[in-house]
Amino acid sequence: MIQLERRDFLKMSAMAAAAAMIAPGTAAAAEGAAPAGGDGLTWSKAPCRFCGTGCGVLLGAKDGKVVAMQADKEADVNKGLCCMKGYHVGLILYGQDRLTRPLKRVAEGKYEAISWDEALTIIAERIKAKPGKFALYGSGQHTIVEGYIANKFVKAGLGHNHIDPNARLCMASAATGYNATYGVDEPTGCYDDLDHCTVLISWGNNPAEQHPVLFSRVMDRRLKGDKIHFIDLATRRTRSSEQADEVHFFAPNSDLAVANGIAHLLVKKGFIDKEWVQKHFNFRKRVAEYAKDPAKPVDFDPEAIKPQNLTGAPMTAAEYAKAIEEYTPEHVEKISGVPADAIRRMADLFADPSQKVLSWWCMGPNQHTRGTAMNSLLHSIHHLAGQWGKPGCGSLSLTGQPSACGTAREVGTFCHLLPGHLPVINPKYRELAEEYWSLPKGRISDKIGFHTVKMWEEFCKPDGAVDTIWVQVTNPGQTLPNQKKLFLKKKECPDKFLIVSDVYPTATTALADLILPSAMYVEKNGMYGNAERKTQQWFKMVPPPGEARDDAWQTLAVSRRLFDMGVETMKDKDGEWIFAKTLKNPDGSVPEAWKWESYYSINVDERCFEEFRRFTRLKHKDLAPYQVYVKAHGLRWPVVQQPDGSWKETLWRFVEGKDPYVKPGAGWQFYHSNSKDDRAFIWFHQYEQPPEMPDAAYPFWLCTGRVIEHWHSGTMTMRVPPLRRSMPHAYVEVHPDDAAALGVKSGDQVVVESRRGELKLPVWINGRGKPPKGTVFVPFFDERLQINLVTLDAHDPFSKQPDFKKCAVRLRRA
Amino acid sequence: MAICSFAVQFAPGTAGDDARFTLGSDPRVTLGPVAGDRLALVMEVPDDEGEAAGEWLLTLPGVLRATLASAYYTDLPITACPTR
Amino acid sequence: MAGPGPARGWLAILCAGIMGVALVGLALGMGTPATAWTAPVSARPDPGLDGALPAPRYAEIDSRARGVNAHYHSDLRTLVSRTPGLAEAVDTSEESRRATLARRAARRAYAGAPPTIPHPVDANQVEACYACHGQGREIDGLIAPKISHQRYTNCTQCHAQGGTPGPGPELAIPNLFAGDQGPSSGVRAYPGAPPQMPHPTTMREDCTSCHGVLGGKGMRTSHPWRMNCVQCHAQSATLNQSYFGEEPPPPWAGQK
Repeated sequence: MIQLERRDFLKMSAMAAAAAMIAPGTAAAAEGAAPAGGDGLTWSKAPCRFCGTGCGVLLGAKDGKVVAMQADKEADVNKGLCCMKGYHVGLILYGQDRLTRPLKRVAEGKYEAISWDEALTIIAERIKAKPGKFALYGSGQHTIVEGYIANKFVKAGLGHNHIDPNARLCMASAATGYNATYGVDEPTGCYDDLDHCTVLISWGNNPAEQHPVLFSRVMDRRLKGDKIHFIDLATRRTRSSEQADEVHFFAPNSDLAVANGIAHLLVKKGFIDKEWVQKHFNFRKRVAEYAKDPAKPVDFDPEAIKPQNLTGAPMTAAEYAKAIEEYTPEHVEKISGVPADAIRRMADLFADPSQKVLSWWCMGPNQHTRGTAMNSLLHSIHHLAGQWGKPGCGSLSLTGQPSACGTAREVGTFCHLLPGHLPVINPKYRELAEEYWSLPKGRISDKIGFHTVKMWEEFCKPDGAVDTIWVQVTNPGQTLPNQKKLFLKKKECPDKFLIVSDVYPTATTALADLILPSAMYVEKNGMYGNAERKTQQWFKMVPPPGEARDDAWQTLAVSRRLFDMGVETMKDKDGEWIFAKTLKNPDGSVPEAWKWESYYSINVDERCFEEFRRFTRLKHKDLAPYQVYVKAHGLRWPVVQQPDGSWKETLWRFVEGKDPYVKPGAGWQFYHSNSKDDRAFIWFHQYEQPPEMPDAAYPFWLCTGRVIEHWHSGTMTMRVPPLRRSMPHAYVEVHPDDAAALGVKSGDQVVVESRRGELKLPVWINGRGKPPKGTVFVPFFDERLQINLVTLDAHDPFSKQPDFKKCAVRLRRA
Repeated sequence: MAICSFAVQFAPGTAGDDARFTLGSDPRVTLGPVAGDRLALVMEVPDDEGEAAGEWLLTLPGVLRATLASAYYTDLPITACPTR
Repeated sequence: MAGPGPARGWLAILCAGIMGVALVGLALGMGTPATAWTAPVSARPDPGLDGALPAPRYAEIDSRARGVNAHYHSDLRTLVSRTPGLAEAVDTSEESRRATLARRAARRAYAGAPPTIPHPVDANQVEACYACHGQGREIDGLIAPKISHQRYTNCTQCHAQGGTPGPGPELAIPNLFAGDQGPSSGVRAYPGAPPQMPHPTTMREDCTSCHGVLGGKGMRTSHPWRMNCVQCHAQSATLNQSYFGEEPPPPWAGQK
């Protein structure tokens, strides 16, 4: 009796707790927008500003300032968890040295504040004088609409294709890998694969620091009792290795051999005759011949570099089996250092249909002079083994920037693309873009523009083909490889003109002739697209400081200025400004969005996005209307409208039942197949040595990369005290034996020197990462200690992406 | 036995009404105050099924959301409570 | 400190760490999951090491004291770990509460930010964190709070070190961010009523981490024997992101 009474009491208090939660005032104003009140803050959703993971965060604002953050529980990607950067993302707005006025260089290192009007005139006159020598260097941090406007500005408004994003340095090889294999870019799976895999293989990747939310999403499953066999194929021991069941170090560039070793064993096991291989895949090899000796890679002849050669030459299954024959586990061990038994174990896992094998990677296979090949091989071993097309199986390329996919790839801010992943060399797509943009026939150039390395090479030559570069949302002065050649030479070219839109002073603004202060992150409307094809939208939450303004506005205003100056190419076929039809009101009037006062009188993002959206349907990358993204916490394309009018995202592509574009009964259908027969490719690529390897004079491998605290060049995170305090300074990781041989201990200074440059750094032994003997690692976040003075500018022949992960250096005590 | 309370939101229309009826006729469930389309309720379930109860609520057609408000794990003998 | 001092200190910490890790690892069963095809971790390819990681030499250890607690020197002989009893007198003074809140604020950019770590972190494995933070510990007046979200295994994903772990000095660019510190206490409906929770329970699922017997002074509950906090202390649906939209969620919201 007493117990029953006690239970009733418990029920009463439990009911009180529930009743408190349904009380009026706890209701959210609308789906997607978190409520005001409770704690006096206005909470709004946005994707995180940093990496390509695309976590949802909620930012709390009060009196026009961001004052708190929390992870968005409704966001599929991160489900209420961030990493230390995401939890401090709001602090990036408030570094004391924000740029707040346009600045013109008047003498070496001396700047004078000018008005926006004067700044626009300077840029417009510079472009008008030599439009063909102007180039725009964009970014995977451009919002979708900023990228779209910049892309149209150059390709429609200047009639050439000299626009390229920093994403060239980051995921160009992933894009060529997907294109070479599937005929279309971007991952076929999504992050949900992390919730289902039973075997996870990391290829030259340190997700515990670089994609921590995704790493813990899969590793935390172990707490629930899930078995995940995690294999870390690495060139250095990292925080990710600590959670691995197996860690294997491979010699730099020999990941090609490791993948071939797995393929070799799968062929031996008879997988080449499996039904899915015969039905859904063709075999391909490189057009250019391979050298007999992997130590002497063939220099590509111009014929081989042609973009159409990306899709390779056909080979039969028998030819493939013969080509892969030499990659026995023992042979691969000799090349790579990965034990033959480990290769066998991996092949067994791939061959086991009860396992779900997922490979993931980021900059290891991408920043690679054989990056296209390595990316293609990763997809290929999954195809061969049938470890593809089921939740938990597949090959997932991660990206480093928040909109490398959404902007650089989908909007096509590359020198060879039009919006919607449409190659500019295809006359059909040029005509189509001219139609969508109402341009006169032939306005869009059929010539591929300058890719990143070429663009900066030309800029840094006194008589080079580029004389003005406008840099937006990135910091090439720190992140380009071989800085002396590709950036610092600008000092010796007084006629060259560098325009930089940025939020803080950087290594790039240091050489700028004109600096434009930009609004950043939640100081403007924006949209980003993450590494699993998810598009996310956010609204401006707080005003930018001083005279800082949106990058999208800056480009529109220069475009309008050129139009007003009578520049023909800024007109469409009806003589209107090229952005007039984009921004037009329903009543036909054109809002004066080029004037800052009226820029936010309309939602420029929405109007540009609706125009951009038309392009995305050509390659089945359908985006939903802008308003759908306002309500959602991100949607993965293709987003397809359902009979009831709702919009449905797609998690797995090319798989019947998951992808709405696969024909019923097809099972798997690669409907953008390069061979036009609904088949994807299984590639063969030979192992080749990298262009520079350690030798007697330069005996160490140098690898560069990130640390968890800092994001890329540190412009933002070095201004966030909790992150900067945690990792204040660049360093060089050295193996204890190498350090002993040099006679240095932790904290001692050494000089890291390559054939291109040198840098003095403190040694850290057994620090954040532990490189194997003969390898050193230096992070690139520190603008005072720029390791890119030392790195190599050699790049992949197809993707043009440079290799930041391996070059030869020597060390000496400072 | 565990005593769990939930805040539940119903879909508009008949689906929501059906869900309310289902819950009201379940002996494990005690209905509480209503605010618009939301309802507070208390459920009694075996100790190891507290989480499952929340998931069960979400499986009912017409229930849009169910949020756990409190959970109290008691030492009551099983015979003292109505069972499933 | 000169001479053998720092070395002895390191040894002590190392021993305690290894013992702690071993014990906690055993207790929690959090070792690497064993599978049929699990091979021993092949660590360094160095010949002759049999896959074992070599212990660091003194030259490899940065001997500077680091972090906010750098002044603290441990000695196994004097370290006493104790857990206050449930019935012990509790310091509920306003002064202590304010001091604790101030210390908390110093380690957080805003209320709700993951606190920074006030000591060096030399181990990368979660077991090392759990050695002290798994259940919480008080050693010689310093409290290692219990983790309030035990379902996560990658501690250094969110928690940055408060000191300078690497070599090299700090670079100081001031940041003008003024974080919201949240209310300093929960609202009471009337004097004597149980205060409502002034913060979300996300990531703070275990109330005893901060309010239990090993909580900060002034934040400890006066009634630690009562185990069901949410029975009397109401949560905020707003703070917990428990949205009840006026419209039903869009059809794609739950699509899997």
